[in-house]
Amino acid sequence: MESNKPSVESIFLAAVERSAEDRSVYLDQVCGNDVDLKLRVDRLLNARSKVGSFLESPAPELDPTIDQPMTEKPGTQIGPYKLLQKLGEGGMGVVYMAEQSEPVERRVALKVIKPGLDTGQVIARFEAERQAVAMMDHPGIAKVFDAGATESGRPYFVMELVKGVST
Amino acid sequence: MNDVTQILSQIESGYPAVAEQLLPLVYDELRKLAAAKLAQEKPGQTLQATALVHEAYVRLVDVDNVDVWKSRGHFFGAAAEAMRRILVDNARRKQRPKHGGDRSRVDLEAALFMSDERADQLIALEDAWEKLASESPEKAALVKLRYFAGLSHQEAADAVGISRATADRYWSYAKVFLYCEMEDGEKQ
Repeated sequence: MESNKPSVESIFLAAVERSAEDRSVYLDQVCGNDVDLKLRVDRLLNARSKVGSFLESPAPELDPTIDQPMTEKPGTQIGPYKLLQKLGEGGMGVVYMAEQSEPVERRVALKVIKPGLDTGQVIARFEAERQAVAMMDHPGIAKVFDAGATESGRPYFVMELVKGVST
Repeated sequence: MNDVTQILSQIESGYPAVAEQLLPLVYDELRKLAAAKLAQEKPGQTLQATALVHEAYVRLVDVDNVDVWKSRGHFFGAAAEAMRRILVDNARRKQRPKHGGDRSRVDLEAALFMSDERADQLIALEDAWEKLASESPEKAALVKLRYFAGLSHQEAADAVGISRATADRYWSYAKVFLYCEMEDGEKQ
């Protein structure tokens, strides 16, 4: 890199201080014809809106293998579902009664997959279970309405609330 | 006076060369602490990496015998490095094929849970961090102190020996730098 040019870092930091309008003027001026330099600075500037809480909370990795606490509990909101009470617990997950707010208001059963299990394996089993249940449309079997991941990254799925639902 | 306190007071009296002796001591203490916690505490308890670091500080540094203000930086510098090594080693081990180890063994390797994603993320962060360290050791130190030792912005700035304003600028650059590097790593 030419030594008379300011560094990517200093351009980035100077650009951050400027308003959006001033910023593009400044970047054109300071980068001139150096397209590569401009691209690199732009990339960093664009990343600013994406970093969010990245690195803001310290490393949490030291979790014992067994029975990590579930962060989801009654009162937790997961998308349009609010967890009400625990219905049961099984090897793979915990089932809650939950209240769905939209598109319809109703009570559902929501199963959150337990932490501490090998993630890849869990998701595979979970997918298989989801498909199996979705294929069955029988009055005795709970229908699957929805599936997703909680804020802590755990898979969950939402089922029709029936008595004796399996965990 | 224990070893750590002695080393800290030697550093203060102008023998910076002894600083490297701190790392193995702190590293050992962190591993012992973690193992002891895992053995004692009820299942369901999570071990915060940064809480361990702070506990090690309380246990190892005799605040009556050192200049707390000066020694904090040295101690947390060593502790952040030790914690980084422990976590990264753990993540790398996780990525290697398993050898059917005994999971009930209470040592750090066996007892720490790290999901595959977490391990991958940590390795990706480590690779990006190495790049940052070669470009700017002070920024890398700042990230290490905040992320692996859980110091606040101000504490980390003090530990590196830079102003808060400089630390804030470094932090905002370091974050996007690491983020972009990790994104590049993913694409490969």
